[in-house]
Amino acid sequence: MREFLIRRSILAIPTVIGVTLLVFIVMRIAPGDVAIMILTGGGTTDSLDAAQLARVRAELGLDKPLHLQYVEWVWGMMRLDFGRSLWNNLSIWDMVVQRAPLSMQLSLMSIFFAVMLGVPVGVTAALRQDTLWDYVGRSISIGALAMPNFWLALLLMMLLVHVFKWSPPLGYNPLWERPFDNLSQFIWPALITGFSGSAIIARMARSATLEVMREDYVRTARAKGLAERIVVMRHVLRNAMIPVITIVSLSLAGVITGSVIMETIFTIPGLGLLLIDSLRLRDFPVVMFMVTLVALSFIVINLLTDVLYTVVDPRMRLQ
Amino acid sequence: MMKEATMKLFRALIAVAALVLVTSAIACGSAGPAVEIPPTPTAEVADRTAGVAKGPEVTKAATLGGALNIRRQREMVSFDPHYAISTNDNQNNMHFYSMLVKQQDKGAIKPDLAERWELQNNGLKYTFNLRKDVKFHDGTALTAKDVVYSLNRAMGRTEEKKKSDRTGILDSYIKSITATNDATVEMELVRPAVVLLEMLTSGFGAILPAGTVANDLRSAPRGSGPWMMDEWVKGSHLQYKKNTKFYLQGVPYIDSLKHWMINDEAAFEAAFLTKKVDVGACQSLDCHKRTDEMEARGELLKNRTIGYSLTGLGINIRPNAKGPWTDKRVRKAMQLVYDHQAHIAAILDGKGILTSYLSSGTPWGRPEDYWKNKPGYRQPKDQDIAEAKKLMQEAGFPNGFEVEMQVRNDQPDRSKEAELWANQLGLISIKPKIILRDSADIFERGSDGRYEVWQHAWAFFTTDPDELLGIHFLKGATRNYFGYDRADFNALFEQMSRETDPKKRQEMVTKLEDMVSEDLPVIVEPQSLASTMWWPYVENWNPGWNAYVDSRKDEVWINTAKKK
Repeated sequence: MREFLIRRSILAIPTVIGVTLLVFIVMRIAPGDVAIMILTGGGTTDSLDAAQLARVRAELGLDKPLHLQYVEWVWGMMRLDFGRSLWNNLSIWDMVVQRAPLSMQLSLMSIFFAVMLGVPVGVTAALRQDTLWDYVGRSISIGALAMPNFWLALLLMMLLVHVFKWSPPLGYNPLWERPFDNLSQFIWPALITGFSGSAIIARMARSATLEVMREDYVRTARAKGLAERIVVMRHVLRNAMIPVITIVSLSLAGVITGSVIMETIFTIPGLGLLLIDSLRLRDFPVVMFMVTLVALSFIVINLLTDVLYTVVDPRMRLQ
Repeated sequence: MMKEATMKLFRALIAVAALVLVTSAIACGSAGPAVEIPPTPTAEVADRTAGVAKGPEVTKAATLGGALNIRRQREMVSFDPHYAISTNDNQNNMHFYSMLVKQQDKGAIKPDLAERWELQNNGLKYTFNLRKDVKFHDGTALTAKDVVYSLNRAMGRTEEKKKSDRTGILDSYIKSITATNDATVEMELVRPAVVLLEMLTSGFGAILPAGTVANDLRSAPRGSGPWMMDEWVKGSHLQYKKNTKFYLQGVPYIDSLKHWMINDEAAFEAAFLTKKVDVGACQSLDCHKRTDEMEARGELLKNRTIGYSLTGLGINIRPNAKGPWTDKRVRKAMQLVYDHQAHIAAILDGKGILTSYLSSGTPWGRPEDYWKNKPGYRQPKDQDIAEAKKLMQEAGFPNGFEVEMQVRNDQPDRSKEAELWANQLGLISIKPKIILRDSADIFERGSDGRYEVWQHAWAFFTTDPDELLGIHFLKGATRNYFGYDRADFNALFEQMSRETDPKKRQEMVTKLEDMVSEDLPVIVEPQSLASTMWWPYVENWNPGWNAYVDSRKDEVWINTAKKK
């Protein structure tokens, strides 16, 4: 196990370097200039002084050679100095720490709903294969897969506003400060994301359950006279949930990238909005930090998932 | 048997569900109603935007307190009122700072920090008498030395040696500013300037404590205005609380202003319709349509403002410029062929008006109706197109020519306009090659004359013809990107700039506009109509006619009897 962890950690380093280098290059190639964005407030202007622009670029360090800018950034990251936003000069770490709990909460709530809906639907469909339960379950899954979650979100907003004359609270509402506003704000995007996410979980749970149910040990357990409930809970589910764990853990890793649309529509100032605003404003340090964070989170969670496998499936320990 | 029946039922259910889904997808994914060219709002525009001294009747608050919720789309970057260029920052900064004088909604210029002022020496000297009871937010007294420092800073005459992007032009009008005592400021001018007071109403003319430099304003303002920073949660909201020691008695009427960061249009619409946001503006056509209907039913209020900007195709007519476009006949042909109604329908979503260099319906501009039957504006376009082809023939370009059209790469509206130009100019065989350029590059080229034609929108921040005509067309002016130089224009402009009789000045302004219309250094496009909307319980809401002279909202109040 130790060698496995060390090997995986070492392999992660070139991955992260490659990702950050790619983002650095793409951000520099993309049209737009953060200095112009700062001078114009990200809006329009009809005049721009070249000398002013040169001054702002020098202040931001953008006049240095590209390779030097990258090296300085990497060195800063290694010293845990994540830099400041070019846009508003705030510490990137502070910005992320402020917003991370909101994105995490949205992600966890979404995964909760996805699992609570997806697993029962998938398992029931498998246990009642080719019955009405199975057909309804599969229809729900296909529907959830087919309907884009942003479309569902907009439909829901229209329904809430025009029928119930209600919209979610605005802005930053931490759970520990304003729990009611927080839950009112988060319940809808979490339900929608959870509904979309439940589709794949349900499909995976169904096919995994069907496969496990055909195994010899399940037949043996039934032959021994065990109640069906015990056969399912003790023998079938545990083995069928292994692929489901993979999907759920990958969903957790997508905290940042998966939340952009919901945060935009429901005005939740989380990491997704921060990333999209930083991209729009060409705020390189923030974008690079966020991308690095995403890459690291995928790597760490994949690693944890592999470790979790060994807990759930003893055969993996031997491998 | 049971299983077969269940299968049949299932297949039937699937078929129905698929039909519903497909139908919904088609309905929701459709492009929406076909774009119609609406009738141009003439009377509406005239009623709401004409006149110099008009403005909403300000009523005193019947109820005090409460909070006003407003939408914002961008974070603040700078609290520096002199050097912040962005409209967003300027609008925010207006709340924290005071100016010598103020102007709201094209009304008369009123006292702010200056109780009264006198103009002497044939318009060459202003004496401002300041209020004696003004304090900055930190409690220190605001005196004449602060006014002198602030205006010198805006003009680049302090140690920072940096001119404000807007009020830096004051430098060309003002010889010196001195504080004769704590409450008196004297301003000597280089020449009489009717526009001076209006420039001082802008947020760029804000008054700071003497000695303030840019670093002092990075994280908080240092003002004396009606509002103070209360809370700033990045990405969420900005909250201002009222300055209880504000020098104007009794205002602000409300306790706080909350600016919510809402980028998404659907989210804004939801927040506005459920009254979580009290004031805002639509961007999408659907939102405009829905709120127009609500306005017609008396459920909400809307104000439509004509933009003060010059949107059009700028043409390089410098003496050393070469190309068919330097021929006035070719420029006239280009102007004739451009379909303004198509522009209003396609680019402005029907919310625009016909205009020339001075926006129609504004104090110095002609009414929109004046242009409707003029060449280049009239419908249908057949006669104009025929005349344009004739001019191209006379000029020696019957088969047209190619031209490079530069456009900013970060403004989608400019690109759309450029594409419309390409389409229209094709009618007289002119083939524009659209080149997207970075902002800095485009302005450098504009200044150096290294371009052929330039599709752009140049904004103004005063309503005065000194800026409206001078800044782009006066010889040597800072934004005369076109190389326009006409001797009689320059001479008449100098006269107009000094003329204090409004009627005489208007005549001169009209003549100047006609001169530019004759030479066409810029082929003007329709002006957009921006609309702001608010709920009826928001009283005295004063949207501001211009982004740089936004209302401070100190006289706005919430009518709790109307708010349900």
